[in-house]
Amino acid sequence: MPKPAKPQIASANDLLEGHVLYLSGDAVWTPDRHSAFVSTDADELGALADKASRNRQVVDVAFIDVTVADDGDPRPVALREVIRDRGPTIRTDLGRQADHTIQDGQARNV
Amino acid sequence: MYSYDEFDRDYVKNRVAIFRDQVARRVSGALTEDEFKPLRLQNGIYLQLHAYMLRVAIPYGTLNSAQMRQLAMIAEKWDKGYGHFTTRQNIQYNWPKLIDLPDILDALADVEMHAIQTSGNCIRNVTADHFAGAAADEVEDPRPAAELLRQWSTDHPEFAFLPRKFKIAVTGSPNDRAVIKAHDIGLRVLRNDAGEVGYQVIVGGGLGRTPVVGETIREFLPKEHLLAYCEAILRVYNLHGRRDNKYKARIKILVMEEGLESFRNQVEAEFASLLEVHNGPSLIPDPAVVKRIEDAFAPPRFEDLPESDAAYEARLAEDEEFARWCATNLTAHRQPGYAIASISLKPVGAAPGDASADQMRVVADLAERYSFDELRVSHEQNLILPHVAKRDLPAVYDALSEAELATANIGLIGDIIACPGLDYCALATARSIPIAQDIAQHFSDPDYSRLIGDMKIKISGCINSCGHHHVGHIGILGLDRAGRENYQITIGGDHTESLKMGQRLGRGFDAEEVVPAIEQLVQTYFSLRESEAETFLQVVERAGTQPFKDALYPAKEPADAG
Repeated sequence: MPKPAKPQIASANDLLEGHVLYLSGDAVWTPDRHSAFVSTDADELGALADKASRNRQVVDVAFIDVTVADDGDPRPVALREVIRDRGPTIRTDLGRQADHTIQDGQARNV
Repeated sequence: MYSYDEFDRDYVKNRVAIFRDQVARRVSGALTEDEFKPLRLQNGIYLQLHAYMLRVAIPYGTLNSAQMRQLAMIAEKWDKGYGHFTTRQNIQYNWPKLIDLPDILDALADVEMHAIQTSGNCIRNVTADHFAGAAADEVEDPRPAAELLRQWSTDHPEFAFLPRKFKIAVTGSPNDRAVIKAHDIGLRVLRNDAGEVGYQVIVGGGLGRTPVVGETIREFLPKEHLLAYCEAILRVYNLHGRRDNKYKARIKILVMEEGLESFRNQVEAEFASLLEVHNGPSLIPDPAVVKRIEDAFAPPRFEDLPESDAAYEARLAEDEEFARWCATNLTAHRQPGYAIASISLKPVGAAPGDASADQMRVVADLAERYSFDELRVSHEQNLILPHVAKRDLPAVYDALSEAELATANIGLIGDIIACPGLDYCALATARSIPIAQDIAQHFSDPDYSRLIGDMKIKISGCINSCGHHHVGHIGILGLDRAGRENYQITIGGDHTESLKMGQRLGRGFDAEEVVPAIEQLVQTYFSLRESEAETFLQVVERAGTQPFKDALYPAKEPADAG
């Protein structure tokens, strides 16, 4: 029996500025991970990413595994993606974590 | 210091203009990412975890104060106020925007700097002994050779698409501080029995996933044949190096597969052919060019000073902190009355190799005022004031203290090499910097670290080994083990002229287990050493790794059958 597909979101980097972006359900590349579109269908994510990329130039599109919290928040599974999402664990004044609206806890203790 | 000639200036400025156009075409959509990526990499621009990263070449680790101030300006204007000095004597900026990069490269060109060939399968920035031109043990300054190699290798049409990247290091001293045996080509300036100066040529060294100690391919190469011989090595490599597997593509694999003798025969044949077919002089540099380069590295106008200085001696006697800094951070200078001062970029709690823009300016000011306008970057991620009169050392120390740059730990356990690791690097499998910080914090008592003595800890966040873990007295390699960071420990590595790879002790450790493991290794060393003069590395060489394995992995009690 094939394994059930894992929930994933699409991520990329902004071409001009390089910062991390996520793909929302309305086909927009956004810095807001909380609004990232979760899917277990890679084709669906791919089609949505292609549509979004017509409006904003991005590079290094990748699908990353997430777990979905009770409140619907998609949280990256791999440490690499957690750090990529938040910023360097040794400089919490840098990266997305420097935005104090992020409520994901202390970055150093990922 | 070497200064650009008209050709250098035009070349670098033109490259910036070309790249500006390439960025514009990428933004307009005229170039796809697949087309653009190799172009940005050729200009030292990577895409890392959080943003683009710009790697700037600091040829043979030598800088002047104007260049350091420009690096500070770039950090502040276009980045996040700091830079990271690397294990290849470069500086990396972690947050530049693509749209700003042409302006950044222009600003670099204004002070005769660039980022060309800091990426890609080409001959990379040539590195050298960071004490070049100052060290008491030096046969000859290695930087003229490094500069000659830089000019020869820059945009060399035949070597722009090698099987893999290619790194060259040069030292002018028998005591190797440039890790030449871990480079694709390592060069040591030496004098033969006839008193002539030339090079010992070492080939096929490297770290990474296949660590190899380089072997001597030529015991003595006359100076005038440096470029021809390097060209011959590169030609053989370019022709026969593997292109089917990037993990087998470095020259070290070719030398291993062919065998040194066979490889040497091919190189010597190519060398002879180059000298004959091309009539020799095409690869023998014009003496006028060589002289211009050598003149650029002529020693500064040192004062005729006594070996020591009364004010310096008085401060040593009355100020314990100053004396501690002098004991660890100064190295003997060839000129009486002068010292080489190392500036540690490893204060407790900091990321090894990071410097703020303000700190860069402080160091630039000190270089200008006290070190003949010269600075060095070491592969150990520290900065160097190469020529400081001993009478000026108290003033230098005070200024460094004020800038939080006077950490007295050079060569001690807190002077850790660490790659950026998973905090920044897209290739990393584990974090390096937090491990370095935790170790430095644990061993922050200066008396304790002095008691431990000479100790090189080197940490890499993946098998690519940018943190040189293979050659650390204690090496730490961070890996991903089923989604958790896991750290393998090696001991007995040696980065000097007697280069050796460390031996892995056993299973890896979770992050929080690393510091206790290092403490255990230190305690084992204390229990084994025969005197305080016997270093950790000497104990490992004498006693072997088994006592350390036994300490880290004690045998489990037999299960109780009852």
